[in-house]
Amino acid sequence: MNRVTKPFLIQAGTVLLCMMIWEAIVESRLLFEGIVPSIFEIMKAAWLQISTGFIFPHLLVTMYEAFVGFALAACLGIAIGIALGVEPFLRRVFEPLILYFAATPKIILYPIFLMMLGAKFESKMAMAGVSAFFPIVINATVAAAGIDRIFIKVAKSVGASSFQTFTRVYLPSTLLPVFTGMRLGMGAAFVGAILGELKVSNAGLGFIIIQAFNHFRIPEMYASILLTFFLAASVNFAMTLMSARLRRFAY
Amino acid sequence: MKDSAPILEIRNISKEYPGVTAIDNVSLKVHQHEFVSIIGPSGCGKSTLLEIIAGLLAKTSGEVFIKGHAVKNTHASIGIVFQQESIFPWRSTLENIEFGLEMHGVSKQERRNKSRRMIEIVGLQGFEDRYPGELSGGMKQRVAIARALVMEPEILLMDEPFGALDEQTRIILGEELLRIQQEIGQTILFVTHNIHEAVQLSDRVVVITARPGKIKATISVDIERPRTSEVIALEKFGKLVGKIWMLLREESLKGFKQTAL
Amino acid sequence: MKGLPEKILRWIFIATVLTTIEVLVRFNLVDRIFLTSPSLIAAAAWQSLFAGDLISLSLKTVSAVGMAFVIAAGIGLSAGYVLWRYPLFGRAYDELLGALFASPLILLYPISLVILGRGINAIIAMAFLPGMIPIALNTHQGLRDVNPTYLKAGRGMRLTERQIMRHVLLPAASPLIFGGLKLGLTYILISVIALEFLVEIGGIGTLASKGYFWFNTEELYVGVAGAIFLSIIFVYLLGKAESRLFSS
Ligand SMILES: Nc1ncnc2c1ncn2[C@@H]1O[C@H](COP(=O)(O)OP(=O)(O)OP(=O)(O)O)[C@@H](O)[C@H]1O
Ligand SMILES: [Mg+2]
Repeated sequence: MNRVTKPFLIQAGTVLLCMMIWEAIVESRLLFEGIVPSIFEIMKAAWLQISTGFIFPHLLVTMYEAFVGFALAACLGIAIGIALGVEPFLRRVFEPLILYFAATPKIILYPIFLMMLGAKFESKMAMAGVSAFFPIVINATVAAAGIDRIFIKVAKSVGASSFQTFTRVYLPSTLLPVFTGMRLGMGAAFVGAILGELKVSNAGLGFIIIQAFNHFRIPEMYASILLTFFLAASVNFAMTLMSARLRRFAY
Repeated sequence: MKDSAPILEIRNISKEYPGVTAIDNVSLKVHQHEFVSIIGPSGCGKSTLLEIIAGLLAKTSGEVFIKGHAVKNTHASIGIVFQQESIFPWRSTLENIEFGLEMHGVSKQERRNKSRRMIEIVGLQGFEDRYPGELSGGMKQRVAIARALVMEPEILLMDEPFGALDEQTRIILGEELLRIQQEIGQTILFVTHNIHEAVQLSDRVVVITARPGKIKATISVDIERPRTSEVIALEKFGKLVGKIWMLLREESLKGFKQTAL
Repeated sequence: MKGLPEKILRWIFIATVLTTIEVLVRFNLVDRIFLTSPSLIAAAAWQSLFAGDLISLSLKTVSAVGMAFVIAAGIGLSAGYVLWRYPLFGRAYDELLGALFASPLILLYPISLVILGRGINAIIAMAFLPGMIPIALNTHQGLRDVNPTYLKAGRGMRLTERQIMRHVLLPAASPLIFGGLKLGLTYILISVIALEFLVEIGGIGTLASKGYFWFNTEELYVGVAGAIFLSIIFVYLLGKAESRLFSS
């Protein structure tokens, strides 16, 4: 048994134990009857949602909302973050504001988005956008502030323009930490969009969760939540893989 | 040769940081193909002076002339190798060396050719596609030197380029630097705090005082070229080293007290 | 007075934003259904303050946050200690907890509602998880990262395990533990307000939701501003407490 496998066995054992306790509670019919379905029932419902193709249009809607919001947040967050990181005075003025707002619940802004952008996709995109913006801008600021000044001197010494300095020095040297911010932002964008859907919507993963909840279709509700978690984990995993590939270009 | 117009002249340069005078009224002329070393105690303003000449730092007063023309900004005739490690970790050896050419829109083909030739000159064949993380300290310094040289600057400013290296590597790279200078015909202004290195490489050694940095003395090194590192064994070499140390000793003690405060 | 110009500029920036909105609304450049002016929001908040519902709603939120925090801190701190005491489990559960923390926990709230009913218990249960995890992880890390030389020094002075815990481990680990508590409390606050908004069961988060559904723009903005204000006060106080505790 080496250092890696032992913790892994404990982790697997824990997950298994939790599932067994869950099943035991369901089978015993003593607690939570009718509101906690058996794991098999949940799996069956999840399989049904996939095999009938029922979930895919909703999945696409949520991904669309999350990606658009995320893309806007990334452009804005990276640009602002690098500006703040490069200019210490600006950073001292605005970073506290950003940190304060980062610690507020973004969903509270949702009714404003609903009124201004309507109850369709746009308001969820805005939710995804504000949710993703903060982790991205915070990471970009720290990354840009941490650039070794010598690299900028090198660029200047060979007569690079400021645009060239931005694309050839600032972007590559902040790539990894900014990408970490983007990974966190992507997760936040999904949560933001889905929370919006849970509140007011007529499509998306959040919509099918809350529909199942309202009509007391309990196994379906669990299944949709499970699939949503699976999606979030996959996106996170994919971005982690990407950042491992980027590591080659950074340090 | 010394009678011709200098390729680089600095006149009455001073630099003040808030509360600190880093350089005080320094003037210096450097002629074409000359190798001039600047030596002085730590913190006396050597890096500051070099960055001012390169146009990377604003000066408080004074002027820099290149071939008789006053310059205020960065200049195509000047290349600089920095004291700190400065090659880009996200670029391979070849890409690092190509950097300056790329910024000037030189075609890919020409970039490759020039950089490959430079890689041969600094002896990094076989490491073209390695990233800095996979290179030794000496190799990285050679990449930095090649990156400056490939721009074909007439004047090369070098700020303790071998400062972080061990003694043997330092001597060998110094020898190679002289060979490269011979081959390309650069003018070199070289900062060091190593007296042996200064004598091994230079035509003239300029001794700077402790802060605020002023020129204390200029010593000519009359050892004929081409030189190899074997000059270290010459009697003349030892005498020059001794002479420079006597000039430096007092300043180093002063500098030491400044930092100890 | 270091940092004074930055502070002034920051306030000028805030004032400019507010004034711009005020002007836009006053000159009817935007629809008042969408956006109302800061002065009208302030007036509505003032009224609501005296009518008492702003205060009672805030208190409801704060008490839910408090209860969730007490439970999260109790369990998180003990869990962190246990993870440190049994390093093998520590390694295993650090990863599990980290993965859990990175997942969108708040989306579990419909389950919490189904099991615990539509009430404050469901909210506390949902806020507990994202609050407890950073506390446990930071406590574990704080204890683990204590310089072993300190422990040796303590044993060398023949202190008991209890004395070492009290006089060596805890003080050395306290900055990280406090960091965990701070993070946990922030997450609890965010979760509580978000859930109040989503489920509409009282608290400051409900106000915005109600305002939206009744087309009461002022009430909506009082709710939004109140929720943001409340979280900012929390973050501010936490920052103050941290710098006072660990300034030396
Ligand atoms: N940005 C700055 N602000 C204030 N003082 C500075 C700044 N940069 C350098 N100095 C001061 O100017 C003096 C000269 O610095 P410089 O880096 O030029 O010294 P140096 O001769 O290159 O030293 P070393 O041999 O250690 O590299 C030092 O006393 C340093 O503290
Ligand atoms: Mg220096």
